[in-house]
Amino acid sequence: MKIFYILLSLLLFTSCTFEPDGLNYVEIEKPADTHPMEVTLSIDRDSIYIYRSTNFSYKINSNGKKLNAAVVKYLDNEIIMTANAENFSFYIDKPNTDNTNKWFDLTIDFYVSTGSGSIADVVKMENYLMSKTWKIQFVDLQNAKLKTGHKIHPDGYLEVYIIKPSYLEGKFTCDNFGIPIPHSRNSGDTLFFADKSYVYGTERYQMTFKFDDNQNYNWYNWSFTVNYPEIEFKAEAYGPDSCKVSWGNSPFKLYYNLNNNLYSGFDKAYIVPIMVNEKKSFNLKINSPNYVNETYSREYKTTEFIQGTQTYYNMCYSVDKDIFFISSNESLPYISSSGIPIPKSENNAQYNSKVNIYCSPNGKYIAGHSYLNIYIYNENLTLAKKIPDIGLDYNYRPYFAVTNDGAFTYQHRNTLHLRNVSERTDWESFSFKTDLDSLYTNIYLSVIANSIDGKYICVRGLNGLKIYDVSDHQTARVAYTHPDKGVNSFVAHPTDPGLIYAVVNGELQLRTCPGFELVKNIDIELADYKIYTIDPYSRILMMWKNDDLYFYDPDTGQKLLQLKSNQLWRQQALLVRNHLKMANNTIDLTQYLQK
Amino acid sequence: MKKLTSATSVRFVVILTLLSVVAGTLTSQENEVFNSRYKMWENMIEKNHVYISAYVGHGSYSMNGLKKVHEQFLSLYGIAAIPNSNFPPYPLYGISIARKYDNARFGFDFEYMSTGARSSLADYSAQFTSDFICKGYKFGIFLEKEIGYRFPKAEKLEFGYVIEAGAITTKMDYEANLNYSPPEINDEKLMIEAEGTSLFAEPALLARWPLTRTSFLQLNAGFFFDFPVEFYMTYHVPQTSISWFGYRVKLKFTQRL
Repeated sequence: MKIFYILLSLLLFTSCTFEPDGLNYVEIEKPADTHPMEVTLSIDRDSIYIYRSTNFSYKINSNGKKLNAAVVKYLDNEIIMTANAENFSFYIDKPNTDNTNKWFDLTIDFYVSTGSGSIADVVKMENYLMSKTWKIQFVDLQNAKLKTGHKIHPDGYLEVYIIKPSYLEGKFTCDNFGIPIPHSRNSGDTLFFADKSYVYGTERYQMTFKFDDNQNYNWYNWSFTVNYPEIEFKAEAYGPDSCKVSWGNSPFKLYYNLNNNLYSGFDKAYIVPIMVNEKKSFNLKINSPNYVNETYSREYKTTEFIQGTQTYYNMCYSVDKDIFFISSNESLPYISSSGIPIPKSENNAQYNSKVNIYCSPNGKYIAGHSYLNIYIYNENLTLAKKIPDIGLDYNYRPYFAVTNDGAFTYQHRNTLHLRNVSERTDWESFSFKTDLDSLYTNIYLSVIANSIDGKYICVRGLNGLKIYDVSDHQTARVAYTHPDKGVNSFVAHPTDPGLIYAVVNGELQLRTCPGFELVKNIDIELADYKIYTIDPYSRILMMWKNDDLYFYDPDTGQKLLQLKSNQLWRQQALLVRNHLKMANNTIDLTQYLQK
Repeated sequence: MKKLTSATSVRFVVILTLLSVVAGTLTSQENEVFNSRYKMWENMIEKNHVYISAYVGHGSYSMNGLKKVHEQFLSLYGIAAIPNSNFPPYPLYGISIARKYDNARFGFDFEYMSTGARSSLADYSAQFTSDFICKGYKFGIFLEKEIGYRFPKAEKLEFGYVIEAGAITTKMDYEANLNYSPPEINDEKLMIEAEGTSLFAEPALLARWPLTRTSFLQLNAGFFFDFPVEFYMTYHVPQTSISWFGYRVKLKFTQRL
């Protein structure tokens, strides 16, 4: 019974509810405080530029320990990697605008097992911690202002370049309005593209970037303009018989072709012979050396040249007054006077008159004509009288002259007409026929001459030479007859009315007027020439032979200048005050006609 | 329908058999006998034969499902915890009240039982405990009946049997603690509570020894059968069941009022 009560007491003393107790303690060696580890990020740099959503991974060398977890932190993001942390990778996407193009930290905490086998180790709460930080910058390529530019390669061609952002992996291409520009070289982060076809002018280049992974949606473009000044293509006088065509000084090495291989090469100028009355056009094809065989040149420029000053107007010269009279307006003809230099024609109505004007050597009387009319001007250069319908036939060089006594002399077929353009009232006009030519025979060139005082007219026709005395302005009396046809041309002395220059039997001679007596022979080294005119200012004779012009000093017989012309004998050119006035231009020959 | 296991089927048959025996005991087959017992019943009520009892006991508890679950929990932690206890037999306590008529007692019984388990491990870095505590609140109706056999040398000692059936409510508490030694690491704790109710049957043999004319001691020895309670603890472990199946030995003090 006692045993029974003892057992009963034990049961009553027992806790009513089962309570687990006991603790199994095991001795485990504590791990070392530190453990060597190394981490390498897939982009192995301390400062990393990224340009799009970029995948990162890492390699950790934990020296035999297991990586339990890694915690990635950047901006407001935190990625905790526990399962299979050793092989984890993550993306960093484009951050918000405030954090774009700015550096931010990427920190990864690595939790590596101690391997002690303790409870905390088993549940991955006992770790070696290694924390590493990298600097990251997300560069917004779409809005990035990459530095672009251009330079000239030492070999003389254009290079355009773009400075590639560091570590941007992909391909840059360049094009010029769709024409690909080849990549030529790299210099550090600078990518060069060579446009060997560029010569000058405005060109727009576009740089395009594409990532290497063939994702077509990632295209980024940068455009810029290259503008080197155009080449100045010009022609300028190079002496009286040549012009210098030049095309500037381009910084590029260029190949030039002037007037379809008149010249081709790399020089910057070329000397071209040119005739005095020739208006010459030039064209220049400009190419880079790599494109010389192309059908079409990269650039094409044109210019034109004519010697001297462009003077489309008609004019005359008074040696006594040393002044030029210029015909100005055809519909309401008036003239103006000018000194040196004579004015250049402008593209307006001021100098477009077709009225040919002539003045007396003393400058007192001025007359002109157009196709059918004769115009007589006052001394104050205003139109005094218009005589209509004179009915002139034109040959190559119709003869017109105004003498110091106011007789306007002109020729119509075999008839010479004299009209009074002076203030005198005792005569108005008279005409006379020569018997030196038939009615319809055109008198040969340069075979009429008035003495400057108006008293004599020298005419040479097919039947010989005659000097008429017209001093009374009523009749033409033959003062001298010369049957010899050997006088092929002559010109009155510009200042002495008693003298005349003539080419007799091929010799240049100074003879008297009207006696036609030989004063002297002027020995010149020329044959088969004709007198064209004489400068009343410098008294230099201009002769012509074929298309060549010869300028001689009649006092010494010295040839001063020889020029090529283009059938100038067809024109009524003037040599006045050392200026050779032609239909379209006037050349100042002063420096070449020094006696 | 979930397929019943063989053990569950056996328990089901036993419980139904015992209930039918109790029912059969209460059923009169002849009117005379019924009338006689009705009179005796009236006498008993008149004489106020009410018995109250308190008892302590000891029982074993199957808990096979929880044992497996515990192993699964431990494998989840990965900690090689060592068992300190594994749902051992543990004392139980109860009270009952009954009335007697004829030579049988019929009454109500309330019993409290508990058991549990612990696995633990500790080292320099942390200590880990994984504890289960199961509490059973049993409420049943029972019938005691003497079988009339006595030992010649101890005629006061009476023998009989007890048949009890009812419901048992189970409360299960699980708590795992992982306390780290470094203070900078936060301790971890997992708590799971579950509760369920099922039917049971408990047949037992009894031996009774009178202490006075109105009190006696009684020793019950039997087995506890129940329908296991299904529990769902966490998605990490499959659904499990708790069974309090096992032997029961109880020492009961009864006072007749």
